Amino acid sequence: MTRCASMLGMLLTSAFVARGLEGQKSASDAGTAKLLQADYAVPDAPALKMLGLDDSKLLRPSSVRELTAALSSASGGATYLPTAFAVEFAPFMLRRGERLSLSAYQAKPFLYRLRTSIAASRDSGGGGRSRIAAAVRMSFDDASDLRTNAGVIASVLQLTRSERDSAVTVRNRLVAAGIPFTGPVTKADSVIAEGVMAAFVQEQRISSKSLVDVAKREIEAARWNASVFDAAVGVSGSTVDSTSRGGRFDGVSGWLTKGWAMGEGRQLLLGTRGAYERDVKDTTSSNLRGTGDAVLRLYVGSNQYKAIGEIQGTWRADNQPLWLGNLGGEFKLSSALWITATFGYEATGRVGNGRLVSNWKLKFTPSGG
Amino acid sequence: MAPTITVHFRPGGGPLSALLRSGFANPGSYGLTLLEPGAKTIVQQWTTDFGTTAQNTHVLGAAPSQHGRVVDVIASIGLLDASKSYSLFLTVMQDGKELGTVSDSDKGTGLTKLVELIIMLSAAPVAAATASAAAVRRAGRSVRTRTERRAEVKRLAKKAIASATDKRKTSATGARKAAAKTKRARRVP
Repeated sequence: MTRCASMLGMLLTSAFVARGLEGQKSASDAGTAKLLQADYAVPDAPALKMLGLDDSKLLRPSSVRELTAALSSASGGATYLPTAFAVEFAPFMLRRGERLSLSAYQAKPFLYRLRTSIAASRDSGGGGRSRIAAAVRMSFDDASDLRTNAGVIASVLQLTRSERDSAVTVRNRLVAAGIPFTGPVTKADSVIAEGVMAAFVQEQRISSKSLVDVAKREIEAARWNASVFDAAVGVSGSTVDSTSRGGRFDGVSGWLTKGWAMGEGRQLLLGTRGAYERDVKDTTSSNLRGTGDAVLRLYVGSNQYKAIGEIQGTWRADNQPLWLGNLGGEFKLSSALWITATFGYEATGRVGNGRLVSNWKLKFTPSGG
Repeated sequence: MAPTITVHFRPGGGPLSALLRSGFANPGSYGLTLLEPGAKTIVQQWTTDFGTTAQNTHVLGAAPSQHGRVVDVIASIGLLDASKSYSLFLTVMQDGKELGTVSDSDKGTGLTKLVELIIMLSAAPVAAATASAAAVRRAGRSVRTRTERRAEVKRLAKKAIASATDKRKTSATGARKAAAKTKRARRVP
């Protein structure tokens, strides 16, 4: 069922995004709006971004065992670069996570939010260079972090207390009925236990439903309109072939995102990116060049619907700056369906030499729990 | 079936205590129940949330009365980790030392995960050896001559020690044999 839903989601998304992009292309010819939107925010896995790999290659191990399994599956030998590989993990969380208490996390949240990403790609067709990138992402302030959000923790604790109380009640009923929960159980005991469990499931369903809804609302509220301050820095390099021969430095990139929660239903975001890197798509030159992007975006509304206003700028060495002003909105059509539409003005070089652009897309995100 | 282990304690030692820990910085609540042998009568029950070590350490009572009792914990854990990972540890301690830990660690779905862990308490085999030593002393007194008494005491003491350290001795002998075998193997050109 879930599989069907996600397949349907993929089909819907690809169909509508394609139509949306086609519409944008006819209006702007260059797809500038898309380019700028992609570059301003601190990416989840900056190393992946630096190599231009898509998220489907990304592995997110949550234990040392998973990390080593991911690394060993990436390559047969230590000196060989894999065809396409990306991993993102929180090193301190990975090391201590299994025994990390909530109070220890809350004492040093910065440390546990620190994330490292490593990505590699090899040109299997020959001719191209094998590339590798590594980056660190830091979160200095994150009000959307569920583990440091008092409202979320309070609502989750209400839910866990209710579940705990129900389960303990069942345990006590079983004990009172003389049913041992260690050692062998007779058939008669099993019948009684099943009756007790059925009653428990019914009670649980009634008592926890409203608490689950409250906790979900708190989590949604924490993620929307939150104050954030993220930064990331990454380096990339390449080699002539997969055996690490002819190593070369390909660039360094940095991202910075600051978000301010401006009272009820408003959020201002400032995103910047700077880089000194080679353009791998440029076949005529392999020189290191400076690039930069900046965006100022204002959201007004709620998690269900919001209006967006933004100004973006991007600079590439030896090229004229690109400018974009956008107005639009994001609407939640159902629990899994979103529509985003923006209309704006873009210009190359002088702001006066511009044209109108539009962009819209439909996103389907099946809830996985 | 809930993860279950047996923990051995010293009946002559200090009181036993149980420590609960939730990993992956997940919040949650638990109910800790101490039951009589056979798990049909509740001795004591604690219900609280995961907090500091002091808040989650519960004194089970004096050691001698704990033999055969069952420690059962049912916890509901809030899955706040992005990967929905969770872990729960139940440790029994005596005189500041960890006697044993049972744990459950996995990935869940949804907002919460219900986990159960069980520890069976048992007086340590060392206690059995002490009891044997007492029997040795009693036997010694019933033997008529002094020489006979000494010989009998020696024999019974050896037997008691041998039975108490049987496992360790077996593994040590095994290790010695294995080492000798390796040595011999190395000598072969």
